[in-house]
Amino acid sequence: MGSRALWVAGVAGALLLIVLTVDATMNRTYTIDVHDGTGWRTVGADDHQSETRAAKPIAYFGPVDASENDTLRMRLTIDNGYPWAASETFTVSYNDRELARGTIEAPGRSQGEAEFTIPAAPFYASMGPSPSKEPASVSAFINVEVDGRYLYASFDLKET
Amino acid sequence: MSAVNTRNVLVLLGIVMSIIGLAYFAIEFFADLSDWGRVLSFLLLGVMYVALGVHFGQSGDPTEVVERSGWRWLRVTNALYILGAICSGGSVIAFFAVDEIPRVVKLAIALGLGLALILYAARRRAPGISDA
Repeated sequence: MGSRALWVAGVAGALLLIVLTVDATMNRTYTIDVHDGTGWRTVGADDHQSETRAAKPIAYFGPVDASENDTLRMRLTIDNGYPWAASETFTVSYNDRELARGTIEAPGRSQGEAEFTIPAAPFYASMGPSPSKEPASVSAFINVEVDGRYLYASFDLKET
Repeated sequence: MSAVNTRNVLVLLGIVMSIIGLAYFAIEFFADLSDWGRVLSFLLLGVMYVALGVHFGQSGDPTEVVERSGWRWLRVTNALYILGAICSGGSVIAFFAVDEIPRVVKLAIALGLGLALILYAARRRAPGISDA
């Protein structure tokens, strides 16, 4: 009985190593992109290191031309490292106000994307009237909740 | 002859290192694993520690760290069983964090398994106890 218990412990230990190795090498990574009129720019990325840590904004690339009444084209992408398909609901919010909602899907070990649009008006509204005659510029930031994670993205908008 | 059992001191040191490693795992790597990965990891850890406790308990060798009156409570088997219980509790907590299963189902499974274990163990006789 004693040797059998030791075998059980050994098998459990080996299985534990397998579970940890396989699970730790698999992950999902999300990015948030904004279309600036010429192409997609990544404005937020999830480093998958923590489900509660917010995504880090990417390096500044300049403001997106969008007036107060414009609609911003945005995109959530997923890099699914798990062998099974992923299908997650995401919500986009700004100042606790939901701006968009959707579903992002990706086959196993593949990528997927989901486009959505948000109005530029809330970001300009929070700025208030511009005192100067120059085109207004405002900082926009959004929170995206997906797959139990909280991502955020920030970028600048400039009136055209 | 020393009252301190060197072999068991080494095992106890290993247990202490395991406890610290478990705490580090729970804090640093918990979010990196999938929901079911966490459940399986803690479950397998619990099985491993309990099996080691059974092995040391049935090996026939003394399991006390210090073979002296007042210190006999400090046993390798007790420490391993406690570690196994902590890991099993961790697997239950990780199971409650699985989003795919409705919470009522999770509660029913956890309570059902716990009661089933208690009832099964209650019907078994402890080794060495006779009907006389």
